[in-house]
Amino acid sequence: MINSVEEPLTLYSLNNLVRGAINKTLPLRYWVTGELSEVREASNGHCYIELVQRDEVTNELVAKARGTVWARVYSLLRPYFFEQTGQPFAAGLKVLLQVSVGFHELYGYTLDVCDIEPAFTIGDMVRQKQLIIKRLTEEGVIDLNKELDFPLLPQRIAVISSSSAAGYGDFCDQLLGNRYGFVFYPRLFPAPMQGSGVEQGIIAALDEISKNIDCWDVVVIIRGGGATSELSCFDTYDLACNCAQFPLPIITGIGHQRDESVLDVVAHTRAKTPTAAAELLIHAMLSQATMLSDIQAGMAVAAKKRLDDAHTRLQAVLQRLPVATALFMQSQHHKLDLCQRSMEAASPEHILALGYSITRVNGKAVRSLDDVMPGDSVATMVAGGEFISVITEKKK
Amino acid sequence: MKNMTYTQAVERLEEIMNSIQGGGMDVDKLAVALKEADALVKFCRSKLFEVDEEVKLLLNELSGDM
Repeated sequence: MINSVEEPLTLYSLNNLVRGAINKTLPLRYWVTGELSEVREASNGHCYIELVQRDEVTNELVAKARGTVWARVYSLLRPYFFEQTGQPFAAGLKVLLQVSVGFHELYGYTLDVCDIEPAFTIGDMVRQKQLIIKRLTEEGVIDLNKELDFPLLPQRIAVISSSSAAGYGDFCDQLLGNRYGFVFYPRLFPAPMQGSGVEQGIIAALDEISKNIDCWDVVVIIRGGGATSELSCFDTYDLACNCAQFPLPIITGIGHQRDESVLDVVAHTRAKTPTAAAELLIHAMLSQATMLSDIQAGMAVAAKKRLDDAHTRLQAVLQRLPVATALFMQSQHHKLDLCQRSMEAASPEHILALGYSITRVNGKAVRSLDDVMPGDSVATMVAGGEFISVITEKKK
Repeated sequence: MKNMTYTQAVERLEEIMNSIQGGGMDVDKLAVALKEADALVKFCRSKLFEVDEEVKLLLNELSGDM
């Protein structure tokens, strides 16, 4: 005890003691990690932050501290952080800060921020992205949009973009000015393309498109490119999940060369820029136009070949015809010969010449003994003529 | 053909082509088939190159910004 009840300290004195103790025991600068829960830029150029730490399992706050980035530091830190991470220095980010610990009699415990390590934030964003991708993979939705058949003619295009951004204009210029003269029907469904409204804006636009899903062939999500514009707004789970399960193929052209967002990962096809997205659609049409020309040319060739084949077949028949005719004639000849011979063999002259004779009574041929009676006069024909005789007797 | 989709027209074209190439096509029917194929190609090309006013109007009504 350094004082008695009769001589109490003023609060200021106590705080002053605390200040002295802190300055004595924590005299250095320390690197500390935490999540920015509040970032407030004051008009005097200073930036006031609140840094928190959450329990990894329950997500409940386990530590909290106020901090200040003095204008002198903040004027350098702010652009440096944005350049390195593509992110504004804002609430929600995990950061690694170099701080000195301070205590003020009136304002209490506070951290003075001297420096920042952007690589930590980048690493955390990458980790977050990987976690989302892992979750989408585990849920089996990550490739659903990729598995959709791309339409043969991607003409009716629902474009989700910001109406004010240059991206939509570039896209339409490229698409509608295509040198082949292909027809496209792009229509805009406006949504904010930066800031915190991106996720809900795109999901709302998708809902609008899905009301008349049969009227559209593809969805294109585009954004004009500031090279370092933030990309993390396209890295959210809900947005990725909605896009992955959307029943039409989604093409992205969100103008980011450096990095691939989760939205790019789940989309059917990723184009780097709005112009490239338009090129992709033009190319799809071109391959159909080429296919039609090929079919037309192929059809003529096939038809000619079909006629040639028929002609060749006809020629072959014609060639075989004389030989076949001769063979046919020969065989008919032979048949006729045989006929003639058998007819000759059956003629009466031939039979009479062999020694047979024909006997007639009253002009009728005698075929049995009953046809004649003794006393009948009969005429018998033999080769060379006939003779007449009278029946004198019948014997059996 | 007017109610045909592009995909159906392309499928029919391929069918005719296969029939001619495979020798299954009767020579007497060749001219008719070629005429049909020609009409199909024209129909398909019209989808690629000609503005369908009906589609245009319908989509104008549906888009968010019009």
